Amino acid sequence: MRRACGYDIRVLQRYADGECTDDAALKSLKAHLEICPGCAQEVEYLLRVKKIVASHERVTVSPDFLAAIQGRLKPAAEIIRVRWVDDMAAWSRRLIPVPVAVTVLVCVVLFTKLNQVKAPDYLLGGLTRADIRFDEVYLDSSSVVNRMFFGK
Amino acid sequence: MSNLQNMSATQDNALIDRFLKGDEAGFELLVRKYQNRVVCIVYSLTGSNPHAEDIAQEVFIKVYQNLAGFEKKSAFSTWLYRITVNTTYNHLRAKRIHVSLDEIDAPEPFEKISIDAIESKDTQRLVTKAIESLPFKYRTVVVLKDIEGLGYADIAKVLKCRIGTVESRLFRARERLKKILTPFMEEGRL
Repeated sequence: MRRACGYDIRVLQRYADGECTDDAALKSLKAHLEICPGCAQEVEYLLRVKKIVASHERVTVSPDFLAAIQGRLKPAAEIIRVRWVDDMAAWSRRLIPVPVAVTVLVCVVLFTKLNQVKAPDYLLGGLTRADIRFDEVYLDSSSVVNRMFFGK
Repeated sequence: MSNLQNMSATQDNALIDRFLKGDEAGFELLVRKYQNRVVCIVYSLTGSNPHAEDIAQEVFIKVYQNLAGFEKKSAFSTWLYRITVNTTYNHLRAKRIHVSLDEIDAPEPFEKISIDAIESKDTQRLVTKAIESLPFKYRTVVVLKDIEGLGYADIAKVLKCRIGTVESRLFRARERLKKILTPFMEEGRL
């Protein structure tokens, strides 16, 4: 935001706040303030407002401030314990996929094993057990059906 | 950061390390070092709330509980001021005291302030009410800059915004303060 003289008002604010660190800019601004009453007045106003605000009442802390904090705090040991428990809980939450994966794997293996049907004699289609190769003793139901009806 | 600030930051970090090793005295020294500043910020931000000390205590309790997570990427004081501003804001929001973080252009209770101030004839009250009339965003920068004396860069770190944002908020805040205080300045009350 520029003033009528072309000076950015924020430069004036920076100057009033002591935030103008560039020596050349500072020199130039000081020279400008000597010839521009408007900007000089603006800076004066800013400094005055700053002074008024800075005069805002300052409170002093009551002597039992620290004791009051300590009274409101849990004992340090408890905090550390809670933090340890929290860490463990966080780790267990992160590791949840592992037991889930293991459980699923076990279920799949069990399901596969249990799904293998030991073919009863009456389903062997007149074949004696001796005719069946060892690897054909445990057959799944579809193989038995194929053997019985299609001779495969 | 100046040498003085560097030294202060180093001291703070040493106290934090002491506390994290189990020495409670580290925390106590941090409280003693910053208690006045924190209470003063809360007091100014809440418009001289009598519960300013309670809010400041809450700030230090949060510090105590989260000090282990402080990563020392910024100065401890910056972190502490941020907690102070946020805790105060939450308190004001919870209590529904005049605070409008987003409603920047909300109308000011200007007449009320003037009447109150004239009735009280108390400069301190007038300044307090003038600051209190500002939206929280503006009030924060004014308090941190003009009351606490922080630099633009430090305020930007506390509020997690750009320096340009700090400058513009400060400018707008002072424009509003100008409207409120000018009549009293002209009358010679201030």
